[in-house]
Amino acid sequence: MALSSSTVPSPDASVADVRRDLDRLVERGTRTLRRAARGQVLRQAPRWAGWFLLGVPALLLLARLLEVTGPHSPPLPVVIALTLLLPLLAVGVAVLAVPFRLRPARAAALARYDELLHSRDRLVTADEFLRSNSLSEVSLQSAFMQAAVHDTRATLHAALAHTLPPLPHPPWQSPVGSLAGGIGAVLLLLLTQLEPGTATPRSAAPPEVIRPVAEVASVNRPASPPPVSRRAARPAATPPASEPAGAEDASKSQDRTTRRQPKQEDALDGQTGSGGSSLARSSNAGSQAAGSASSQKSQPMKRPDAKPPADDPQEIAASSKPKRPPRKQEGGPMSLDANSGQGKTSTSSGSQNPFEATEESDKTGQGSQLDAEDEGAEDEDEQEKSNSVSKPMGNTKEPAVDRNLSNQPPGDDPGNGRGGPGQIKKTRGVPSMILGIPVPDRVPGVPSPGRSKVTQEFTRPKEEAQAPVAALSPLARTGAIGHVEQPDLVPWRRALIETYFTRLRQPLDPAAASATPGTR
Amino acid sequence: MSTSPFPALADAHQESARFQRVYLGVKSQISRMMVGQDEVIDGVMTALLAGGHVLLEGVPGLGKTLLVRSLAQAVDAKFSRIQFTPDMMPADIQGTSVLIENERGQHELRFQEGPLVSNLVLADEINRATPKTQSALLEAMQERQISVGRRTIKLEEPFCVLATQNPVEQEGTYPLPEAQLDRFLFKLVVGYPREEDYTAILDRTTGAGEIKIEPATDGAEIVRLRHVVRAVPVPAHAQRYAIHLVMGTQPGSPYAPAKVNRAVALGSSPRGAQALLLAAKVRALVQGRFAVSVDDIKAVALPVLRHRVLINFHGQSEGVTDDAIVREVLATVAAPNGPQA
Repeated sequence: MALSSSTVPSPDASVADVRRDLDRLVERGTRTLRRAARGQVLRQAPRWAGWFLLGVPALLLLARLLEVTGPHSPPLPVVIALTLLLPLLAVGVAVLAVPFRLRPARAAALARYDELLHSRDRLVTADEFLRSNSLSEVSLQSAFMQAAVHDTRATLHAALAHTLPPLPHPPWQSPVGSLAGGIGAVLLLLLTQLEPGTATPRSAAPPEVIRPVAEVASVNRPASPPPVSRRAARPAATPPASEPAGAEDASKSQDRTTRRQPKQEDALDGQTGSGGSSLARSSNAGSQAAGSASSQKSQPMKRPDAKPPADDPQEIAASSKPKRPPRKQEGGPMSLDANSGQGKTSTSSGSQNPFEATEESDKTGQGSQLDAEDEGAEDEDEQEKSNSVSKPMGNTKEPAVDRNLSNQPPGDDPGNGRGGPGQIKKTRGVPSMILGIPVPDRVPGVPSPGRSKVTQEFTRPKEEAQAPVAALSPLARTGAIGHVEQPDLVPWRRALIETYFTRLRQPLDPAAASATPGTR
Repeated sequence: MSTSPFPALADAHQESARFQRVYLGVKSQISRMMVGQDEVIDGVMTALLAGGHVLLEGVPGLGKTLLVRSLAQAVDAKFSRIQFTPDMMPADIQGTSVLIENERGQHELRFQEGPLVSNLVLADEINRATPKTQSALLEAMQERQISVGRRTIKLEEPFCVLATQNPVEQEGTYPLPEAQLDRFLFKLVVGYPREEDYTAILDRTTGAGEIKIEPATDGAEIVRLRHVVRAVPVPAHAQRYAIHLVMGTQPGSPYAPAKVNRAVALGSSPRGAQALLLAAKVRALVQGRFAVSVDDIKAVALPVLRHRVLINFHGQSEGVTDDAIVREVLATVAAPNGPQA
């Protein structure tokens, strides 16, 4: 720290002088700041001004849509000139609004001079102290404030002699941000130049030549029957020759479905009921459990247009079974999954008509793939059935826990600290000392019975009346002890104990005692 | 007869000159013994005049203890040294009641003051004491009093704890808790001397001559100058900047840079802002100014804030230091009225 010698100046400085000089500096600094702000607005204008190009064409288009302008529109050069003028006007307004928008604080203006002269905030501090009420107090702190104000005089003179250099301006902004506005303006201008209902600009042909598009279309188009919805045309046995291409596709799909139907009936014993159509089955193939399939197998064959009986207990039981979530596959089978998901949705929503399913397959344009898909689905169903027979727990379809615990179903509670499924494990041993590094459990073990839940309940203790117990001194027993229950003993043990106590109560015979030492 | 617009102007200049005279006198006396380490000497002097405590951190052999002993001699105040050890108890530093025999031959319990009852206390290797003993310093450092049994002893001013700790020998040490670290105004890192300083060090310490330090001031003068320091005004923009700096060390605050949010577990407390302003006031007086500026706050920010920032696990794993955090905050938090404010 460098020490600077300070001498006591003569107290002839007027507060008014200092304040006046500070005001002059504030005025200068404010002008500099506003100049910098104007430059900043100008340099940022290319980023936003292009959007104002949309204004005039949009107004013109709106006026045309609302038919405000009538048949006569302003000429194109005028429109273009106005379009280009509006962004310039917006920039001008923004620049002119800087003095009203930007009111820099006195401190900010004075700070520019402090920064220029490296005066360690002397000007800002003096201005603040002069505007505070504690300057005239009689205290040591007030004395320091007065000294700080007085200390500013030299800096003030230096600042008045200097001119603030212009603040560095930001770089010009790229107009790419508002390029879309320009493109939009051009498109709007083209739109405004079009007559309503024409596809060419108004200036391309004289008005008398142009005919409405609808009129031209009615002349060129041959007479055709009114459009019939595909759903309504579907029950027809054979499509007419003049049927549109979509109807032809539907009929092809229908033929394909009807060709495949006998085969399925043979194979599945007539499973064409709920979800039993080819596509519906293929849709369920990837996701339906074996139990569900077996329940379907026992149902009688239904007509496609027949409603499923709602009072069938077996069907209700089958439909009430929870459906397994679809298995995740990658690569090629992903498309199958996507189709199967759609098919399942249509089946569950009550669309049991095989024609509808075929139509959906045609919509997706994957009718040829569905055949292979159906076969694959049938194979999968058979495999599921065989699995359900061979594995008692196969209906859960839970993937086995491997050593890496990588193939886990989503939704498992991670990091539960148990040995069971879970991707993130609480670590043990040395890795547990390293925070934030989840280490999968490498110990293959049996999951614990489950998470134990500890619930704490607040219960207030109940008061119970209790008679005070008088303390008694333990006295010697005076009376008989009474009858003592003797457990039944086997005869030889009873004889042994009786002999023992009999000999114990006999007067001690020295001869006998010496004869049998250690009896007692 | 015209009245002066600045009636108390002479008082301020007089006090400022006196402050500088004492500061320079004490520093010149210390510099007779210490070679180099100007920043550390300035930091210790600043803390002493601001009424704070200092934590000196450095490897052994850099003159930490010598600096504190030299300061005590230059200030002419009561000085005591406590060598902290793991088996030290609070009664060893605060004092305890001992059984003594009076003039009439009777025995009575009398309180025997510990080494903590002093003006300048050198707590050498403070991190070697157990937390129990370290906690005995908390009351003394903040409230300037100690409580032993039913007795509360007001410590005599100036009271200043100058603690040292060794950053490398962490085996068998007890790192200071945050509550105690926060009570230190400065944490000064004592580094190795420069090459040109080694000659002077060797000449002074291995020669036959003995260096004697003369007292440059006394405890009462230090107390008086502390009042002068507190009278230095702080303009609003400087105070706002100190607040922003402290908030910038707190993760989640609007002034905290991304590095703080990622690597800091605990930021500075309001006590850090108090320390910033007090130390900045001393610096302004030392430099002959009568008000605190933003530059003063920037200059003292590192020793004031570095020990009040607690690095979290991520920061430690990335090698982020508390000095880097404070420097990041200084670089990020804009000064009020500045170009980027």
